[in-house]
Parts: sequence; C-alpha cells; structure tokens
Amino acid sequence: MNIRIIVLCVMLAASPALAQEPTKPAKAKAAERAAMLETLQKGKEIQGSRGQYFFLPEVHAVEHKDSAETPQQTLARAGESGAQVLETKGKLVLFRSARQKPAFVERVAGATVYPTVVNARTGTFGVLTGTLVVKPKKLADAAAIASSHGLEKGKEYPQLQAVFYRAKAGTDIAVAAAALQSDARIESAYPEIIEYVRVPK
Amino acid sequence: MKNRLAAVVLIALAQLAGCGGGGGGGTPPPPTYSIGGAITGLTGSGLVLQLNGGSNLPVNANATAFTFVTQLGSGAAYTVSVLTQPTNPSQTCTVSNGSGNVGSANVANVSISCTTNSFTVGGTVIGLTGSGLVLQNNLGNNLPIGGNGAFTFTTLVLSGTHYAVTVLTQPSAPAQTCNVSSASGTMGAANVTNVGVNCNVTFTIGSLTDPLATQQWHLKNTGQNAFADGTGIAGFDINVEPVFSTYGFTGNGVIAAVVDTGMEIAHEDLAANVIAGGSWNFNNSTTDPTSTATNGDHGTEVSGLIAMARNTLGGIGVAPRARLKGFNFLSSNQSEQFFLDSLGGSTSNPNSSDVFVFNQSFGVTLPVPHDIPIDPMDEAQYLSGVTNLRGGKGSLYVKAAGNGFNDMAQTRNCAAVPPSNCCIANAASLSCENANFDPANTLPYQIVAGAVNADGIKASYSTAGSAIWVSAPGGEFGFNASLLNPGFPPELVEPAMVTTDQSGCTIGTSTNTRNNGSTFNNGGAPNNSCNYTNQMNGTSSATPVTAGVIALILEANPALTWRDVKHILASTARQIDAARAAVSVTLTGGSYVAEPAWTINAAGFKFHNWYGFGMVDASAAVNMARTYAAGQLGTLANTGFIASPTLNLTIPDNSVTGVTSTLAVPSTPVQFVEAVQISVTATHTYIGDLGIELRSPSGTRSVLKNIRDGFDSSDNLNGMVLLSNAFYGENPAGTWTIKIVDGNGGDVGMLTNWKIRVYGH
Repeated sequence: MNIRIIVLCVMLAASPALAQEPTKPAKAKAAERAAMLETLQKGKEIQGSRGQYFFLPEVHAVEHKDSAETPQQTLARAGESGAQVLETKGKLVLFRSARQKPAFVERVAGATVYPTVVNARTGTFGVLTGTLVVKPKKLADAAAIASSHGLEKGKEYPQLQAVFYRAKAGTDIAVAAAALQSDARIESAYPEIIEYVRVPK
Repeated sequence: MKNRLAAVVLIALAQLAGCGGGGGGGTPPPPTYSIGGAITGLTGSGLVLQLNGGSNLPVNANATAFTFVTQLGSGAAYTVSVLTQPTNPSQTCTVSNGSGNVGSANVANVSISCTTNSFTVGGTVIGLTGSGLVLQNNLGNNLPIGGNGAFTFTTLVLSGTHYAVTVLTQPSAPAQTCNVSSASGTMGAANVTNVGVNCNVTFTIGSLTDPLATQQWHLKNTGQNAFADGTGIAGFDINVEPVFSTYGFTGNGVIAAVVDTGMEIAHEDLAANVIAGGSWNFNNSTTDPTSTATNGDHGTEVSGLIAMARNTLGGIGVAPRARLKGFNFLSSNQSEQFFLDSLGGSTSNPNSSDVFVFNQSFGVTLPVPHDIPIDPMDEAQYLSGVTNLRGGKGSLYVKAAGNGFNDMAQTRNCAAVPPSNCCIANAASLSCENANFDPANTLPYQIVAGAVNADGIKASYSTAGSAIWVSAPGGEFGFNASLLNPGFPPELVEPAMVTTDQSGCTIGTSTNTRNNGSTFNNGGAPNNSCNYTNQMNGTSSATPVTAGVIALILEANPALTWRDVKHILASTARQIDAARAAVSVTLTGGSYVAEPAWTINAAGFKFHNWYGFGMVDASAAVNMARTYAAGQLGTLANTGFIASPTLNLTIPDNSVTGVTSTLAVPSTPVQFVEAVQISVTATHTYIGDLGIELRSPSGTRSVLKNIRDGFDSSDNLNGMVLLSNAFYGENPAGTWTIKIVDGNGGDVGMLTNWKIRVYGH
C-alpha cells in the first residue's frame, strides 16, 4: 500500500496547520505546465481512443528495468544521459531529448524507446506503444488487414470484436493508425496510448 | 375506364349469385362432418392437436373436449395427432381412436389422454469428508450419501409440483455442516441436476490455530490492537464469524483474481489456495507473478486478506478456501492487452475467464487532475465480463474507491507556497479526491469499496463519493509510537490490517534490516519470520475484504448473478457512523450542504458518500443469499443518455444559489434504478470550485462531486461522467434536476449541457 509511504513522508514534511484561506495553488502549477507544453514542438495530429493527440517528436519514453532503477539510470541505459525527465508513468520514464524522432518504436542500446503524444484537451502526456487496437467489421478479415497494412497481427478478443496489431520496426504509428482509420473493412482503429497508469489504492 | 369495366363485372356476378341463392337449379355441396372427441387429464397449457398433419388446433388447459374447425367429407381419411405437448406442468398426451375414415356423421370418439410427467431430483455433493450424511426430498425419500459427486433421489417428482432438498443427518467424524443451494423449486420439464450440497467444517475464530487470526480485527473486532498501539471498538467488523460457525462457508469453489503488482504464489499462507499454473506474470510470460520488488508487494498483501489459508500459520482470509490467481498487471507496462487479459478477456496465457471475482485494489493516477473519459475497450471488457463469465451469471468486479481524502497526486503540504492541492478541500472537511475521478468507478459493473477503520468510521484517507457501493475494513496505519518521530497524527498508531507480506526478513514491508514503524513489521514476535505485516491498509484492503465476502456469498448460492450479489450487499450492509453530520460550507446566500449526512432514499435504502450503503455484513449477506431466488432482477436495461440542449447557464460565483436544469426520464425501460450516470459539460476556469448534485423525481439528493475538491489543475468539464448509487431502487420516471454550485470565489463559468442515463430493470 502506498499510503503508508506517503504518510511517512507527511510526518517529515507537513505542517500540521491547514490553510485558513481557500487559496487556489494549482493555478500556478497549471500555468507552469501550460508554459512548458508551449515549448514543445508538436507533430502530427493523432486520433486516439480518448480524443485528439499531437505527436511530440522530441519527447520519448523508455521502460525501466525494475523498481530499483532510477529514471536517470534508465535514461543512461537508453543513451540519453542528461536528458530532462518530464514525468514517469508506471514503468515508463518520459524525457525530453535533444534528438527528434519519428513516431515509431525503436531499440536503442538494449532499451526500447517509445514515441509520445500530448492530449490536445488536457495536456497530459501519453506513450505510443506501437500497438494498434482495431475493431474490424468482420474478424475474419483480421489477417488480411494485417497483410495489407504491413502489421503483425496479435491477439484477438472475439467477445470485443477486437484485434491487436503491432507496427513493424520503422513503421510510423501515426501513419499506420490513419491508414487503418480509413480502411472500409474497419469499424474503429486507434493507436494504443498509455496516458494514465493504475497504481495501488 | 378500368373502373367502369370492373363495376359491370361485379353487377353480373351479383346477379349470378342471386340466381344460385334462390335454389333454382344448382347442385348442393356435399355434406361434411366434424372431427373431435374427449380429453382427459389435461392440466398443462400449450397442447396443439393436428388433423391430417395440419389444421392445428390449440387446446386450452383443463379442456375436456375438442373439435377441429376443419370438416371432412364422407369417406375421407382422418388422422389426429399431437403436434405440441403441454407444459406447466409437462405432460404427455396420447391419442386413441385417432384415425379412420369419415362415415355419414361427425366423428366424436377420438380420445386424448394426458398424463403428467415425472422427473428426478439430483445434484452434486462437494467437500464431504465425514460419514453419515443423509439427504431428503420433500421430507422423505431418504438418501444416504457416501461421498462427493453426483446424487439422485429415487422418487420421481411430478412436473408442476414442489421439490425441496434438505439435510436429514449431518456428517460426523469429522463433524460437518452441509448446506444445500438451489435446494427447492417447482419441477419443470427435465430432471433437476443442479442441487448443490456443500459440506464444510464449522469453526469459530477463537478456535483457529492460525496464530494471527485473533488480531485480525476486520474478522472479529474485540478491541484488539493488531500489534499497533491504539485499539479498535469491539463489534465493528464484517460479522463473518457466524458464517464460519453456522455454515462453515470459506469460499470453497470460488476463484478470485488479484489484479495487482504481483502475488507470492509460494507464500506459506497462500500456496494452498493458489491455483497451480493459473496466475500470470506479464513481464516474463510465465505463470509466476511473484514480485521482484524488495520493499513490499501490494498484491501479496491483498491476496492474504482474501484467502490466507486456514492452517497453523499466520492469519486467515475472509474466504480461507477461495482459490487464487494473481495477475501482475500493475507491475507491467499496463498495455490495453494486459488489462483485458487480467480482467476476464482471455482464455489462455492467462486464463482469466474462469474467475468469479476480480479484485482491483487500484485506481488511475492523474498527473494533471482533470476529467478523463473511460477507454471504450475497458468499458467493453467490463460489460463482457458481467455478461458472459460465470456461465452468463457474470463475474464480480470489486474496485478500490481511492485513498485520496487528504492527498491526491502529491503529498499534502499546506504550509508550502503555494500549498498543495488538497488543502482547500480538507480545510472544509471535504474529500479532496472523489471516487468519480476514476472513470472505471463510474461504471455500473463495478462494486466500489470505501475503507473503514477499527473504530467503525471512515478511514482517514478513504476517498468519498457517490460511486461507492459499500465500505469495508481498511484500517489505519498500524505503527508503534515508540518507533516514530514525535508529532505524528494519531491515526498512525491505530490498527491496520494483518495480512501476508513477502517472505523473509530482507524484503517486504516487514524486515529486520530497517525501522518499519512497528515492532511487528521489524520482525518482532510473533512475526519473527517477517512473513506477515500489520501495516496493510487503504481501500486496497477494503476491496479484498469485500471480494472475500463475495466469495462466501457465491459459495452459499452459486446461482446468483452479479447483480444479485450487488443487491444482496446493498440490502444487508450495515449502517455505521449513523450520527455523522452533514458538512456545510457558508457561501454567498447561505449555508450549502456540501457533503450530505446519511440519506434514506424513496426505496428505503440508506446511503452515504463515505460508506455507500454501509459496511459489508458477511453474515447478513450470506443469510440473504442462501434463500435468494437467483436472477430475479431480470435483464439489465438502461435509458440511454437523455441529453439537454445547449444551455450555457451561468453558474453564480461562490453562491449557494447555483444553477439548475431538469431532464425527464420516461417510465420505460427502467422502473427500478440500479445506477444513475450523468455526463456534464461545463466551461469554468477552476473546476475544483464546482459541486455537482442530482435530485431524483422522488426528491432524493445526491452530491456527485464536491465543491473545493482536488480537481483543480484544469478548466472545463468535457462530458465528465459521474455515477451515483444513492437512488438505488427508486422509480426513475419523472423529472431529474441537476444543480451546479460554485463553492469558491474568483473563477466563473457556465453549464453548457448535461445528460442522464439510468440503469436498472
């Protein structure tokens, strides 16, 4: 449980006094974040399951090995020592790199580096995993869809009429998603975006 | 021209007909004769007779005679047969004198004789280890049972009559209590094979040889300290001991999945209940989700609360014979595929499709607090799970409300400049986080659990909200003052939950290599093995306690649907903290009730945003479940979203007046509310100011979002879905009123539009 840890932190850091006036501290935080987002270059627009996103060519994500690895160690493993850590999402460390990359997943020095997006409405970062979630009109078309879009077919979920595909190395996820979305055999398609992670509560 | 011609033809035909009718010279048609006869013994409905393979003749129940409408001429062959046999009761009708040739009179000697069919009553015995068990049907037809497996009574039971299976003699050596499920009913048109006889050894918590069981206050609160300094108040527990001592139910036959960080499948107090090869590790595609973390494994702690085994070690779970599967989704990269695989969507690698109850002691993080829509694939999987799993009866999804009453995305620090985000809420004694902030909690398919401490009131951290269904023990923090720095909040030394920890003293929450805040967790007696912890807490704990109770309910009556279980929990939950006053805040224009006290809705259900329908009561729930007729809630329906037009109504700033809007809900298809969702779109420069409440046609008021909450880092609501359970059981037909109040000055906005969707039957 992790409120135990939080409470231990509170014991060290918090003042017992609560604010007497209902000030609005988050406004400053929100403004600060908005300003930071403004500085990021936006790429292609991508339709996701939760709305519109923009690709972020200079923000990437890399998965840490285990809970003992610090974000800085994770970045070092991906050859991005010194890059600015923007956020962590569970196992994923999001960082701002000096290098711009297209929207595909790549292996760098033994680490998998993922492209990222930003939610156009909320400003939340998301990570493109390279998976595409597709609802074909007929499941029987699943293999043909993979073939015609150059994708690797993954697991099927018949009860959901859904098929997961993997973008092959070097495939631009935004381009692949757009192509799927315009395929007449497909009811819906979107790239998997890890935007919110679940934590013990 | 055509009309004129047609008229001439009609006149000519009429003249011809007139000639014929006068008897002036036509040939009379040949005489025809009816076919019929007598019926004996018909009590069922639906009998259909046929004449010569056609001329279908439906015959009412209890009829004693019949005559076909179709008549036949002299010399014609006739054959009377039964097309459809009667039902309710099931009967077999046979035909005598059913064929021949028509003579010169009506045929009236066909005979239909109906007899009521009989069928056998039987089922399956499980758990029997003693001898001497004797079952009865309808207080007779004694049937000695020699072992586990199928049984069938020798005496047949007539269709349409009652059957009732009972235990005449309970087994001995060892003494067991056998409980019968699906025990009675009215015989239909087939053998009854689903009677369940479940034999268990009854026990009391005091009789257990599990050494930590007497410190597990959530099972039986005697005012013990659970190895903390503080104590609870006797009686504030889930009242499970009568389930053990009366029926011996232990979750036998029920599969629970712990969707979490991991599960130490070889743990000494879990291994007996872990399904071999049934778990899954998403990080290495094996069936062992044992965590590699060194500072504690949340999933292992959760697992113990559900199903620590009954043995001579540790404590016991709420359902100590429930079988466990662990899916370490939280430790994975949390892909959508892993989510589906964990929650019932997969039949192999892993198989989650055989799970009865999914434990979800987790919630979303909101790095930027704002409304988020649920992923449509997530929602589809939950719907599929309640629709398709457990043979169509639906699996149960239990979910944590959250630990955000005081803190959300960051540690609260009200002295900081600027202060952190929950200070405004807490200054008003309101919950910073709302259970509705996690979109998965806004689905009617969930059972959202809040947490209660050992004093029988809301745990200090437990997130409030109208999406909560029930509450259950989650405890406080379990520390010892002597091991803390001075100045700690009092709840830190109040009892937490005693459960399993990662094995050994070098990893886990309990170690002997550092100060973990309690003697018990520092490896002190009786925890020298460091295999247990006394510091588990959170709605993460309330969730598995609830899941364990559900396992007991499903053992008591395996035929229950997921909605039956929800209904039973709501109907039997115990009201606690009944005198808790509403939280009011002074705004311009007067006092605003920001968090209502306990409310009794028009259907008689009591509800509070801290507790849902109350704290789970295992004994009351199991007692209700044992005799509950499964499936009586019918089919789940919903109204679809009913939308307002664009409103653009200004929300008065910092004012008790608020803004209101109404929508009408029709009288069909829902007459009994099971959940109400609203979707709200608003423009506002500080959403944390806004309180959103809903009033039903019956006048019940529910606050779905508090004013001054932690939703503070963004503006506008974009169709945010919120759910309330407060209207359960009411008739939804009529006018529903939304009211939005701005509870803090300085920011303004408008209600753009809203929608309402009612689920129920």
